[in-house]
Amino acid sequence: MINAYYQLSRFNFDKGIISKGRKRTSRSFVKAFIDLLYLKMYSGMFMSVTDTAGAVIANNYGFYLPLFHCNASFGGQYNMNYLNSYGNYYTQKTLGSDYGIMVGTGTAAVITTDDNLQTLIQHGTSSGKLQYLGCMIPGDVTISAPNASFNIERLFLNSSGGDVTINEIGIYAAYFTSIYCIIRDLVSPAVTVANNEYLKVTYTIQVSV
Amino acid sequence: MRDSLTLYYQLIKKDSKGNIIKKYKKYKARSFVRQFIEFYLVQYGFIDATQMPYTIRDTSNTTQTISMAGNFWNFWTSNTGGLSAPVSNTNYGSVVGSADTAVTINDYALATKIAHGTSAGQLQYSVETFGAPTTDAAGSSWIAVRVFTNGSGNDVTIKEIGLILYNQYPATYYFLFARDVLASPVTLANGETVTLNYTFLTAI
Repeated sequence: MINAYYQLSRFNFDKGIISKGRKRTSRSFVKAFIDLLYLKMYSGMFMSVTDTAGAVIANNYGFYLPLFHCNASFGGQYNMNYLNSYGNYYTQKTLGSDYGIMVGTGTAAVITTDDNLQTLIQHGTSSGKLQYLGCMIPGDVTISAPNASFNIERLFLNSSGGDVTINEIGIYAAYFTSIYCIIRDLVSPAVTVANNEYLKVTYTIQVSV
Repeated sequence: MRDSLTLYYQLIKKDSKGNIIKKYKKYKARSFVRQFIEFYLVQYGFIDATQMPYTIRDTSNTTQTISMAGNFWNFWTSNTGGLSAPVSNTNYGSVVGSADTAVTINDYALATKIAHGTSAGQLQYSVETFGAPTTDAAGSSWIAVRVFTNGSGNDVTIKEIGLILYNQYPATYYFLFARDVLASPVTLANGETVTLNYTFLTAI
């Protein structure tokens, strides 16, 4: 089976780690995840999947494209430019803050068909916002029998001048021209990030025999 | 603890007329193996072989460098790959074997895969078929289905099952994603079939 876990930690450069949250089980791969996994395994299949903008996107490219891409760059930077077979860059411009690990303030219970965080915290430095830094996979797959796992991490910096409270987190995955919410979790108790503090969100994806 | 993504399998044995002889219990598959999570990492990270090669061990016990970036336009209309195995193909899709070696996280192949055919000890592999995702309040799921027919003239016993992925870029590789040893071996008499249903399920 596969399990996902998440952990939220707060730190700043003066005090170091302020709090290291418990590693919790992520409850909630949502519908788009199982849909995209199906597309990946059933090559050539057409299927419509609802993206984070609420648009129903018909897909059939599953086998050749990364369905779960989340290596987003710094929030304000465009990325997702890559070469096609003819040597041309595919210029799908997507902001780094549009995908990867995302955070929000919503408290609505998770349901199977969630295709978004309820209330996404925007990238920025004004009130209620956080700066989305890069989302990365910091290491290789770790094998520790009977488990194999890897981490996905993202840092957020609060430069808003006030507190920002996190109630929900998730992963938005970029696939071709669209972005899909594949995981959503409620954070309870909520985590409040003070001004000038960093928040690190780590998701661990693990298989076990 | 409830799993984030659970794989279940169920076997249904039928006689030559299609009558159900036995519907086995639906078991939780214990055993996604390391290649699944490694392939997954490539997916999440959009790994580019030219910039950050990533190697995964294939079913022939050879480490292969794979990439998801770049040359995809040539292939998008293909209807093979993934688990979509055609009839008689034992390289990928759902597969069955005759050994009961314990599963480990490092397994890269079935211990003893049963070949396609009608000779002694062989089974006939059908095309892999799929049930589209369904969603309700509890979660989402889809299934992969394959039928194995015994035309060998003798009994054939299945002790292990697995899922093998067909990777088409940058070259053809096969990666074992899951392997399970059956709690009770399933013996097929000549003319009997067994249907193997794999269910991928996420639950809220």
